[in-house]
Amino acid sequence: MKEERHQIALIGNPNIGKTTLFNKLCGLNQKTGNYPGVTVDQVKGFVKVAGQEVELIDLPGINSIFPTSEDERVVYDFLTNTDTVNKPEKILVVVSALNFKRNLYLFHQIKDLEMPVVLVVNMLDAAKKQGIFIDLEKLGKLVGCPVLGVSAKTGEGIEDLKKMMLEKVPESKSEISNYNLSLDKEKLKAFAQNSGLTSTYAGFLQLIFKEEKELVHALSNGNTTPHKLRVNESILRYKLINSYFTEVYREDKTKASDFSTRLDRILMHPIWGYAIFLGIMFLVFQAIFTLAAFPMDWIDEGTTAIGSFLKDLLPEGYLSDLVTEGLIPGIGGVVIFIPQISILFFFFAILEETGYMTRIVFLMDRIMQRFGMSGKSVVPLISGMACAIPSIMATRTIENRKERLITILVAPLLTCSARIPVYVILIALIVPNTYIGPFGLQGLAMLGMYLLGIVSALLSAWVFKMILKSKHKSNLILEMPRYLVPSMRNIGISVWKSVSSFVTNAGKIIVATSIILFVLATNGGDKFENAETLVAAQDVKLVGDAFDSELAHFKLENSYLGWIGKKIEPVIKPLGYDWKIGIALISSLAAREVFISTMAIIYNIDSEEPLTIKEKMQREVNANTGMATFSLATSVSLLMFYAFALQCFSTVAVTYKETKSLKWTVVQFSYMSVFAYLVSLIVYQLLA
Amino acid sequence: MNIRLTKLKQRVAAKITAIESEEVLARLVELGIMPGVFLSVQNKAPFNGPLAVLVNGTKIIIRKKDAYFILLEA
Ligand SMILES: Nc1nc2c(ncn2[C@@H]2O[C@H](COP(=O)(O)OP(=O)(O)O)[C@@H](O)[C@H]2O)c(=O)[nH]1
Repeated sequence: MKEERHQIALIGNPNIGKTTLFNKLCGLNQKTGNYPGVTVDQVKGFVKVAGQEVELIDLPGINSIFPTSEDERVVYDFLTNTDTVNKPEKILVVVSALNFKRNLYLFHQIKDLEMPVVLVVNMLDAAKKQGIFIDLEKLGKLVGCPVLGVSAKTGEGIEDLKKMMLEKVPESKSEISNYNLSLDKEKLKAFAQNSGLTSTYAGFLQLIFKEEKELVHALSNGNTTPHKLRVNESILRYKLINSYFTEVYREDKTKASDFSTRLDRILMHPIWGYAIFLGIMFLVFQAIFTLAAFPMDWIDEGTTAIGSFLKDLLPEGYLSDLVTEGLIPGIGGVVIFIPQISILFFFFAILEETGYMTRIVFLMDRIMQRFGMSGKSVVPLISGMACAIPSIMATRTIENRKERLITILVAPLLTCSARIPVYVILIALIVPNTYIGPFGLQGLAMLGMYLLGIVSALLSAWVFKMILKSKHKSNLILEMPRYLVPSMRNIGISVWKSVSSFVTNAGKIIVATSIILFVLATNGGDKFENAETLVAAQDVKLVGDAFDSELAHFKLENSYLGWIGKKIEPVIKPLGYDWKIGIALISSLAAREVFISTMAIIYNIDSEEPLTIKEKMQREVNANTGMATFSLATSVSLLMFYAFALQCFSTVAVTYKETKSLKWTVVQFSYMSVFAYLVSLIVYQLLA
Repeated sequence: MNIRLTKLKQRVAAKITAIESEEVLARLVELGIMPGVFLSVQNKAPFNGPLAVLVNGTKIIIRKKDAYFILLEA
């Protein structure tokens, strides 16, 4: 017998506490799409109810079933999809008691699709505090669906909701036929059936969505257009809601604290608003550096220690070397990110949860428009300072195609966390660790790199704005949620999900490149095989340690890896790099953070003593110039290269996925590479 | 007498009489912003930035160029 499988979808407007509810029900028992960040892809979770497993699908928050942006489209497709494989058994429409009328609009749209619908009214606790009362029983009778009241935060009503999940719910009744839409109802019904759609309303939506002007003309005897239909439908729907609204909803105006309104007067103030925004950003990044510095040092020292420990433990040989000199430094290179990424995602989760992110959209819209983007671009761009992947995915909320494309193209210029370790080590090499007043010089240099990222992103955006043409008009119509105290549980889950998927994704690339690099570095042609005789013949006076060191160097130079590095040396020499840096550049094409692990691998192979990476880099001497490899000029040039070049395969992949255009993927990769090369070249030539 | 939303004083409620742009209308109506409804401007972003208007107890961000099409009873 086939196992019975309960599949239930969660739908609702943005910011109504759907994620909180989902987390409450499923805990960590959930499967996300691929990447950390905003819930854009389908998220699935599992709940056990009375011994049965229920699969919950969390759909992106939408304002209307009628799609205006990519993530709204996901829901439209999901619900009107005719193939029955993915049809959920039930649909829970979640609404917020704090924003009741607006949310009922979406509920009625979904209800018209004639599916088993349950209405879940969330935020009951907050509603009580704000003097809002909703008569759920009466509402249930009026709309003819099961209605439940819950608070995702306090857990009120959650048990009843779970029980409801196993109950049979009849298909909802459509109201669309009661509307005076000047369409021939029978013909509309026939059209829907002939198109293989499950409900008359789905047929109606298709008429509008596909702008079937002629069909609409025929169905209405020339009385209306798809556009007019859409507007009329909305007006009639609100009329319907208004007809019963006062019967079920009461608000005690004197009790409504209107805390949000007063807070907005400061946070959205033409002057204070911006000052506070900058202050918050400054605090966030300050916290990242001061708080993450300690665990990062421990991890760096820890990996060095584990490496030498394993070296003593394992029997000497190729395998031992592969582990201690390839794998361990490689994994260390991933683990070292965890503190910073966690802190960053922690703050973003707070900004998102409290409702502050929308205020940023309001404050920044005008400025972003100057650069061809929308206020909505700010959120993806800020998350680009964590990682370009969730950033590019988060652009789906931007309706205008040109604005979205520009945001995608420039997002990788912002200083993502993969650059941090590279910057940290290079800055530590060239900037003294001294303080001017309360400001550390190294911290200021880091701040400078962040500003460089922001300025270059804005400038590139401006250039794209000038080049690109847009057919569509750009719109920004966005609802602002009331401020809410964030839930620590939500934040914890969000950070955990982001960090774990980042580590697994970056981890795979880093471990793979580490192994490949190691194999390439420890194998080579004839010269490599006969290294000992050749080195001995070169200089007979060399003995002991000096011989070993020279031998190691000779071997690396003549390994396959060395050969690759030497091949590209002519191209990168004008930038001040030698072949060893060349190897690091090539291997970090896949992911920037590989730079550090590559350095670790190259210099581990090259030397016998266990030193931290920074110490090893400081000791390096450039064979071409005879001076320290990481001189001021080279280090600054490298900083510029890593600031501008798109060294991240995952970003390339996600850009392709999101733009569905090879052209724009190539454009993004090329403009960044060319820019990186030119700036590094100029910087090196000026400083050297 | 009708005035445009862009001219409405901050925190003064007024009734919508018409929305002149079809495109803007379709989006706004879905949010419950339609003729007959009261609204007020709560916040203004500087340098001709967007407005935050209060309708049905919900705050909504609208760009100034869209707000221009909303006519109010003054
Ligand atoms: N007081 C209260 N706050 C809630 C409740 N459910 C969610 N929240 C808060 O509402 C905000 C938005 O919730 P979230 O789940 O991110 O909304 P989503 O956009 O619908 O997924 C967060 O700050 C939550 O902590 C609730 O039942 N009561």
